[in-house]
Amino acid sequence: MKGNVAVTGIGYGNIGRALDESEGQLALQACRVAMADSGLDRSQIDGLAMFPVRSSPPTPFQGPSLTYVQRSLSLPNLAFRMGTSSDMGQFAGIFAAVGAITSGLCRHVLVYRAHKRQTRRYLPASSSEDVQFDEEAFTVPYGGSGGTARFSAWATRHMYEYGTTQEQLGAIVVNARAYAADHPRAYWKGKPITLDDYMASRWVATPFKVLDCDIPVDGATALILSNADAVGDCRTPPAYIEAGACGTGPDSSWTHWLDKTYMASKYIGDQLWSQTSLGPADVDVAEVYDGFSFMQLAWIEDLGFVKKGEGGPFFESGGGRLDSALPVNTDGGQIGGGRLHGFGRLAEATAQLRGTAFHQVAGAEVALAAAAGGPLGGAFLLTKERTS
Amino acid sequence: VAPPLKVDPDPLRVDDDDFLPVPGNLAGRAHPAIEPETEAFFGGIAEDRVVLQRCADCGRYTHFPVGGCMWCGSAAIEPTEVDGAGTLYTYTVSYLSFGPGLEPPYVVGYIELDCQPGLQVMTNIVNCRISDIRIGMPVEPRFVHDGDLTVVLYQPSGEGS
Repeated sequence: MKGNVAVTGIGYGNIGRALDESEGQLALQACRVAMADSGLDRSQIDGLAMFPVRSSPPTPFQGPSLTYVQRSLSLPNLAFRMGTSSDMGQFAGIFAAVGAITSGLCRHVLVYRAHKRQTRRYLPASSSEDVQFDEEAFTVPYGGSGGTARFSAWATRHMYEYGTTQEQLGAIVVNARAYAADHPRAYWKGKPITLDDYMASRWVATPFKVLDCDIPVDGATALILSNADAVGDCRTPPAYIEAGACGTGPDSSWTHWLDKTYMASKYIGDQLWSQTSLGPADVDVAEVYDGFSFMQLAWIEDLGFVKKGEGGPFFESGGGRLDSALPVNTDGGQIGGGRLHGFGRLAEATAQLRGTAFHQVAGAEVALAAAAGGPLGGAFLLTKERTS
Repeated sequence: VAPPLKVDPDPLRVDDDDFLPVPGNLAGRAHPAIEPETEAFFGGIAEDRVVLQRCADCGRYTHFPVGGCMWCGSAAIEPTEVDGAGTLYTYTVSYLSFGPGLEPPYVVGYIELDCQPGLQVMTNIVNCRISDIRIGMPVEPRFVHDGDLTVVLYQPSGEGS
């Protein structure tokens, strides 16, 4: 990396609940906006990647197929196609695009993420007739399927070791909803909450209340990645990828993860900062995955923005707000804005470096985008200027 | 070895006096696939035994079972019976159901097994009140069978059957 690839296009589809559009139509909305944003012609798009990969027979968690999007957008010159799973924390398609570009296979890769919210609460099983494989064979019979039941206990352990409080998790949620309250794209626009609202909300799985969980929405995000030497093809100011990492350390299982006060973000931070002369103190804005409030806290700690255990006091004392030293999730994130997975984080980080974010961090030159949590994840460090 | 206690765990007590019964049946629960890597574990719990994958070279356990030792990569792995006792590493009280056949509230716990520091299994805590659960408490396996399905739940040590 070191700035040899840049984000040159961003686009969102409609965001809401029970939208009329299909997943494919949402994807196309986002892709068309991203292409218009970049100024690239359909003949110039020579790579296509997506998340979450579509399978046959269909599963509850998948997006529109590459073939659907390629045909709908009439992309005649693809040299690279890839559907990706949740590996690299939803960023596998982005990493793949980086690889396709740096290998010389492509100049401009379109990557999309489109999904309509699921109507059921957990993924792996719908009935006892379902037979569970791999790690799910050891979790679903115990009601531990899906992120909530597997991950909430990680936050409990952080509270136990570091004294993190319910109110500190609440501060994260209140901040997310404040960013969302006036944001034109946010699902929770016009709906700020107080800490009292948070504390009075119902439990989902301790220590997570319903407001600690992100809000599942129908929506799509698309990004265009370009060879840094080809950004002249685009009309947008590029956001250069300075570094990227997706390591998980020695394990990548929810069950047996050794120290549940850390996420994969600990290893991702080690890898990310080893690639660059920049450090946490150089980051002007952090856009990190917040499927749950505690994931936002863990990312901020594990990437070294605060010391281990100080994430709770950081947010409780106003850290993360626009007027603080490190604004976090400036569009309300997934808790306030709606679940777009890591693509929403990367798009907002790009907008911050362009100077076009709705809640703009003045003079932002270095931004971080991170996806997923628990034993999986991915992160990119973006810069306004190319460093090498 | 569990890290030293840094704060009083009492603030974590979940203020709910519901009793968590040992389930009388497993109606509706998902079934695990029995595969070459996992048949020793699932065959073991069907007979009230905890059988884990142990490395013949480095001696360490890997759970859930896979095709080699997660610590050293050795292919020399063998099923080994352990007593299954441990301590509660962390837990959540779930007020929604995140799996078929589970009636909320139920508790998903991660148990750190005595046989190897850090080695964790996911289970449900049963046979106690929610408000009595504490991180660090000693727990023991409690096997529940229903037809061809067995689950290994955990209860506070010494609760008997």
